[in-house]
Amino acid sequence: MQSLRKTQARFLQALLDGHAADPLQADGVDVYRNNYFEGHRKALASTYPVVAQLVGEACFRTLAHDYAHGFPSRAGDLTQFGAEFPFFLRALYGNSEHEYLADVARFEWAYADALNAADATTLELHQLALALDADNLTFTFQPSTRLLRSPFPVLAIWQAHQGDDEDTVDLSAGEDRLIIHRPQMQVEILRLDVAQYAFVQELYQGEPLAHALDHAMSIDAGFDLTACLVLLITRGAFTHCTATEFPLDTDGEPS
Amino acid sequence: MTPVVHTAIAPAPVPATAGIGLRSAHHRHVLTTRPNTPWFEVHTENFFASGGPQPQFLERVRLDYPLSLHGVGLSLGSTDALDCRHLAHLKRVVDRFQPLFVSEHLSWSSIGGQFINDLLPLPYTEEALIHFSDRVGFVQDFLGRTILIENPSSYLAFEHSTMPEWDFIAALSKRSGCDILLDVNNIYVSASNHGFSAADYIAGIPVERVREFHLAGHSTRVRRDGTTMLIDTHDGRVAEEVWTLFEAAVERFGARPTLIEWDANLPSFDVLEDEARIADHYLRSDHAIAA
Repeated sequence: MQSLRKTQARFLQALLDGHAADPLQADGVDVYRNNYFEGHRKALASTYPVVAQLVGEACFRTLAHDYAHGFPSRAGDLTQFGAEFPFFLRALYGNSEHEYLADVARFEWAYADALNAADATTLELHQLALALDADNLTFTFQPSTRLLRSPFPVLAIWQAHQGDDEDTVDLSAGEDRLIIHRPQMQVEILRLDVAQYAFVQELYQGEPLAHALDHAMSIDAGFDLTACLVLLITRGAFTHCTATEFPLDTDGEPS
Repeated sequence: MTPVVHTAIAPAPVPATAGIGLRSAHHRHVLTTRPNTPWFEVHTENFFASGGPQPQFLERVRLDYPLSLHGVGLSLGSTDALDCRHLAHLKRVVDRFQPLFVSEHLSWSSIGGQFINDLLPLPYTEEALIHFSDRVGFVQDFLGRTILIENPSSYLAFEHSTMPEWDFIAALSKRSGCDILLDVNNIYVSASNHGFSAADYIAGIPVERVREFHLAGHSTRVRRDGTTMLIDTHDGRVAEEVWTLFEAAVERFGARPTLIEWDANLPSFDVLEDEARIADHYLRSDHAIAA
């Protein structure tokens, strides 16, 4: 008699290969094999609906099949299945006319991930006003925050596929620098300019306000700090800010 | 005078009437119309998220309805170690929503760290019985409560099985102390696929352990040899033959909370309510006899 572990290993192999050791069981193996690839295709399509629309049903079916082979599910719930799909697409389509697909996928993964991230309160403008005269102010972003930079207009591509009628998007329409986050129950997207994005990147890495400001000013001398902070706060980007009492040394540790 | 304490979520019993398996396409309908469905069941894994609209939705449903959590991903029968991350999520969801029932399947879904995310069949051997009972025991200790194990539908059987499925389930409940969620459609589907008697199955399940029934639609597929195989697709109304089997189940086990499951080609909510009304008719027949 074969052990349970051996039975399970053989069953998995038969399911993936589509080969039943016993021909009488071939129909049964087909059912499980079909359930497997269909279930994973549906899960991937629900996370990447725009990529699925862009490539079409037949192509997406093939992509999902190959992806499930290369990057199988590692958990009993499927929320993390598909995490490597943007890399899979980049490996497949990098340096081709379909290169943008990987970035659309990166956007969709960030969107799905932000949806399920932890809830948090948002920092209000009056709370900032109380803290603004402190040195070394640092900001904590929403747990759902994902920063995304792409050479393609991914936001416009995504927006063009939200309704029934699809608009055409010019792929050379320019770069996108985005915050994808969920201040309340809906995922929101903030499109930033070059200096604003550089400023946000510094803050997101935990750098103090003065440092982020210097960095943004070095990119664009006309960077408007007040306008940027008001935008971020009114759109609920931060959960809180912290005034560090001691000056920070270069390692970011209190000296 | 005893003060009246209002807690946001208190455990509420699941009545011995027909509830509905709640799927995301009906979330908005349920929140806006508040149907008089007696209880709901959801797939536990759909509420593993740390935050966002999914857990918020379930919290709002739970305020007004008794709830049952039905897991599909714990992979209890696998010979891999239990997934601690999955267990931690499960405990958090159970603690938060205080369901009356927590259920899982007599199946496995992973090996070597790879998950198939489906309910794969086990060989019914002494080795599998000991393994599965130990795993159920661990989960019950971890959650601090009894869980229900559901009989699966299956499309192949193992030649080296040494006992029928119903004997395996009876022995499992005795050994681990778990309760039984009897899926009547699954009994019908597996009996047809493997050529055993559904009546023998029902007669072999211990009465006192059955806490819940499931009902769903199935579909057919033609095998290579031209014979018909039944597939548990959850994509239609409960078949006439399954209602007949349900009647026999209610007669043996008594009225129990009964769930209408429908997952693919989901119809409008009133079709599910209609199926629930039919199930209630059979459940009430039992009350009439008992009275």
